[in-house]
Amino acid sequence: MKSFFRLTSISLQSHLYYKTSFLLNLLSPVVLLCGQYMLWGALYGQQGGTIGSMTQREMFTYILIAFSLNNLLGWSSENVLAKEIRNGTVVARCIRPVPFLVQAVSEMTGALAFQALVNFLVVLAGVVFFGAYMEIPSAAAVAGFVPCVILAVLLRIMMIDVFSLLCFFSTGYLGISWTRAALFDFFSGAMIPVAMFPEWLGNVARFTPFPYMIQVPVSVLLGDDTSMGIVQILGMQLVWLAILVLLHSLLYGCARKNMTIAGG
Amino acid sequence: MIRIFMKMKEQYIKTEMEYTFNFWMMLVSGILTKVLSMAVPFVIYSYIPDIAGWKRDEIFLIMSFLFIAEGNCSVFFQGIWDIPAMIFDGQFDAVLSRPVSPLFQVLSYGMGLQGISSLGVGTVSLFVLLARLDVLSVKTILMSLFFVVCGTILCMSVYLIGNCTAFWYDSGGRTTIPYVAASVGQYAKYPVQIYPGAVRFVLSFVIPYAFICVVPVQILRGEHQLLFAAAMFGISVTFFLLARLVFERGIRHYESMGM
Repeated sequence: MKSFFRLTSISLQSHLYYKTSFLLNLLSPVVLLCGQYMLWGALYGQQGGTIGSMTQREMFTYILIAFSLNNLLGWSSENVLAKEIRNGTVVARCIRPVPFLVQAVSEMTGALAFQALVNFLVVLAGVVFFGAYMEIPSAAAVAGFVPCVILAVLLRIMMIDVFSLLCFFSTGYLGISWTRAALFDFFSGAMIPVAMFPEWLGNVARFTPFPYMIQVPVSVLLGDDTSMGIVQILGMQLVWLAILVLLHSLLYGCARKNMTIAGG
Repeated sequence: MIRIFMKMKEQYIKTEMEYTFNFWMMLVSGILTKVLSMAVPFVIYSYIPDIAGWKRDEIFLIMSFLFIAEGNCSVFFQGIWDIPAMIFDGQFDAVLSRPVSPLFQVLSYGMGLQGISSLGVGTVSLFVLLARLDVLSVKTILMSLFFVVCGTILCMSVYLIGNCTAFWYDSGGRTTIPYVAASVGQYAKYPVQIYPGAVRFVLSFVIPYAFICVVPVQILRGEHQLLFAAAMFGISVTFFLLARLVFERGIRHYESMGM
């Protein structure tokens, strides 16, 4: 664990170096959050009551929590490993006396640590100032949400890691990263709740790990009917996590076997 | 100049096509991104009949104009996004030392392969939607061409102004300001009439995405056609001149590598 925290701290320091950029990076996604509120506020204002199965209060809470989960990692911090694979500097990771997976997870944890704190403050401010328009979750729901969200973050980190490893087999990373981002944004419920999808599209989403990264944790918090108990949900998240760790091992093993760097 | 510009783009596409897998992945991811972003109003409209009187196909038409403008910027003016990195690592010195306009050089750099997909999806959906809305004619095609040119100039100007802010602060090679502007612009995927007055003002005159995609559809709907078209032209020219001014002022502020 010592090396994990050391690498996390190094990652955090490197992100804090350019302060103006760092602050802008932290706050800029709030602009998107405002846009979502204005859009859904207008839709509910026009439609009144509920849209689909969600009331306005549920939707307003959903938007805030989904935003804070989605915004934990930005484009540049998500693509550090992919870029290193592309330019060859990944060799440094391969020779460090810390497992490759631990390095990737600790680095991304460092990248999201400060953002998580800011997001928490944004959520807190949202609840304090606009709590009257939101569904305030029960203590039991929060207790279920905490382990669910930890596994959701780990799932996302692993998903990014696995997609990044694919760059060992391609000659670029942008295409892979854009594909991952597009699939994640839509099927995780970051753009629109999966619960509102038409049945066939919802069924497609449920066969992927993406809803377990945003939609499911927020549903747990809101106490929505997810057709699964909290234990089953945590179990499903662990299953997806195991699948991704397995994929990581397979891909990394395969890449390591065929890796040639600087003629070595 | 245009020949050199197109030659540069041709070389970029040849370079990218050398990496076949990545080239196709970029195109596929571009299509996927646009199609999935169109799926959002598709889901919304499965619950509500219209948004402030706008039908689903009209919203898709708004998105088509936005995709085309963004696609054009990505294909033809991708170099704008390299400005912060050029300033950070000193490459901008080389730009200034060449006997060609720095703005021309910056615009001619690079090519966003995703832009090709954006352009493709936008163009196909534009024609399909004009037909579905029963307004497809030579006149509307010519009008759409005018909207696309104005929209591309506006989009390029917003990106240029946003990226030029890196001349004034230590960005570490990447500034989020243009991304924020582009994010605000995404509000204009829906009719601006649904937003509060201040946001409508921002979308019309500060980050004028409304003129890239919403106003064209309003014109096609027959709303204040001449007035809106004249305003579009005026705003496009004004923003282009403003962007050029900001770029030139930024160059004066540039202090070479390590600023």
